[in-house]
Amino acid sequence: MTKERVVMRDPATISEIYRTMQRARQLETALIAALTAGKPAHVGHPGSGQEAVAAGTCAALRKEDHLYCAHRAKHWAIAKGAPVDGIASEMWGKETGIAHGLGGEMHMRDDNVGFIGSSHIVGGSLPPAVGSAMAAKLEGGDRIAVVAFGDGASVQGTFHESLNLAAILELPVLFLCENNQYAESTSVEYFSRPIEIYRKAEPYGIASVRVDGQDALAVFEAVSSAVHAMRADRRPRFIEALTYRYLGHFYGDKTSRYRTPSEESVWTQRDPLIVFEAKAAAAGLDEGTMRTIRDEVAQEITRAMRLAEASAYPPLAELGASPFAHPMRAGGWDR
Amino acid sequence: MTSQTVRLLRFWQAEREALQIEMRRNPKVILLGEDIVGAAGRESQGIIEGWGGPYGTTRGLVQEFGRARVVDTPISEAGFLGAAAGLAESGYRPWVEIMFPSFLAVCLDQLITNIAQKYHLYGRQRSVPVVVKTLINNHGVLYALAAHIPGLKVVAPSDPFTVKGLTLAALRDEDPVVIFDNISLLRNEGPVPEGDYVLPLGKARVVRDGSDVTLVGISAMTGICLQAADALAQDGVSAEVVDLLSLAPIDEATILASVSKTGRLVVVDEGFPQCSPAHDVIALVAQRALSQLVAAPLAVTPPHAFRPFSGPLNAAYAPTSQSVQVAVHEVVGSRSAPLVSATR
Repeated sequence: MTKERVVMRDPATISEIYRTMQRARQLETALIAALTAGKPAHVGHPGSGQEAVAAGTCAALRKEDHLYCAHRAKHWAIAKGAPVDGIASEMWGKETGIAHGLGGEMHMRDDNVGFIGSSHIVGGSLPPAVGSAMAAKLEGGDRIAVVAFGDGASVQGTFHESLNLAAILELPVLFLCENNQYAESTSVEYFSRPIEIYRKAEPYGIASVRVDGQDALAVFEAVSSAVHAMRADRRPRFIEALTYRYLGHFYGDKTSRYRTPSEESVWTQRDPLIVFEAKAAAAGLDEGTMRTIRDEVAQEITRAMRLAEASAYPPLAELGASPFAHPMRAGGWDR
Repeated sequence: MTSQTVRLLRFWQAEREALQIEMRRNPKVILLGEDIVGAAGRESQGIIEGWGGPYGTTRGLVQEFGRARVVDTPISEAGFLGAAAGLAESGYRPWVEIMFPSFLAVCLDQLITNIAQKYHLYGRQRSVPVVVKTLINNHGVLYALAAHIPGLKVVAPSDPFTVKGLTLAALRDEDPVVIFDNISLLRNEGPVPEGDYVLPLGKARVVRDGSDVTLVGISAMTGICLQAADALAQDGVSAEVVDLLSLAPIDEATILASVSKTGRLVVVDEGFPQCSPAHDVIALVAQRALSQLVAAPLAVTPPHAFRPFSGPLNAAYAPTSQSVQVAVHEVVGSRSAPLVSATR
């Protein structure tokens, strides 16, 4: 792991990381509870177990840095600062959702916080992140672009094309591989060579490290170091965060078809919340503060879910709206 | 076929049966796709199979045919669809599952350049008989993209009987074939004969006789047309229903014969309306049978827009029996059009 710079752990950042992880975990838990109770909520692609990667990464970013992510998107949207109530409503398909209920988990974006969107194509988000980094370099400031993707994306052509483009054009894009070790029901040990994803950046001359993705503070430090360097040298970086998804590829997917209980228990014992709480005192966060954060988040999630449930669906007239941002004809499309 | 035992099978079971029959008959048939077995590399932990395909189409086949013929691929659609072209050019018969329609877009170059084009533009020497199986779901109805490409045969089976017969036909055809299953049909049960039978590619079938209007359905829309026809019969309108089945080539003779009898045409298509099979069918009739028509034909389709996530919008997006009835009453000129809010 690179030690380009020792990162200061200020208490505000530390508690934000914890708050982000709590938001993600509690929102998903609430969505599962609502669905189980027969309500029309969606869980989508569960992110429980992977919260530390998004929370640690985004704590090292600024609002103006662009973030792209994949289909497992809720924790990334939360971490980048998109409003939790808007994300909850989106998962109910309501008008108050951050994509107005039109898109769901895989088509969320919030430009106000630099969250440029999730994607339903594995590997599909890497090229636009490279383009955003190209723009950032042209703009002349120190903004960067970040793309979060899974281990499965690293065997798509777009992965290699994007790394090569970023390398030859020297673009400030951070490739953040959230390696949960499974592409759907298939293990990374089967589908990838090399198995260590960060090594795929080496032939492109992109500095790369692997970090413990269950340790939000370790992720934060690695990303902070990389981002600090990128703001100065405007070159790409690659970080692989090793993590685990507790639930299925989609909600309802039975992981017992392809994972053993003993493997799962190894990872659930390294829950990112537990890992964080154990390190929290040393990082300057006492138990009372953490309890307060948990309680505040619980109230926030309850409010968000109530809003989602109470909100209206988008009007049916939406179906007749023009597919164009700038319709050619008055009155929109005529179909 | 009539002597064969007929059982009820679900759509995905009938499709799996076709694969099994052909894999037993022809050792050159190779299956490729993402998680079509699943849990690859976990045999030492006692896990032989994971998903068995996202919807069960390939479930259990690995146990009979082994991982050399039922191949789990990485999420590399361009890579493995292109590899299927190479397998076909080496004498194999690859069947490739592209899990979702939007993933077809990821590998469209391989489909167009290395599979469809390779026969005609290379001096008509050798076709590339790859069978691609993909889906119609909320991500999109992209059969028009495939049907637009010369050299591809494109089918959309509407029930367990047709998916089995068309899959067996596709695996024996000398041209590449793209099969679009419909997610809404996968669990539907229907009568399926045991054993081997093929349904000819390029042929539609009349699934209900009628005299006042021809309804042409595609995939799940055939069932919608049949529902509408039942309701229309109550209103005194006799609707003939044609199950298009083949989007490329389109069975011109069956459509023209039906329209010549009824004089009216409503085409029901779940895909985006621009450059669609629905409008191809209408264009065919306008060019070849205009004098037979007593009313302007209509297409019933979703709006020209992506399917929204939101529940009520999602539910109102595709054609329904009600929206088909409204269209038919418009074409027939009945005064008793039912008062329903339909999205066309």
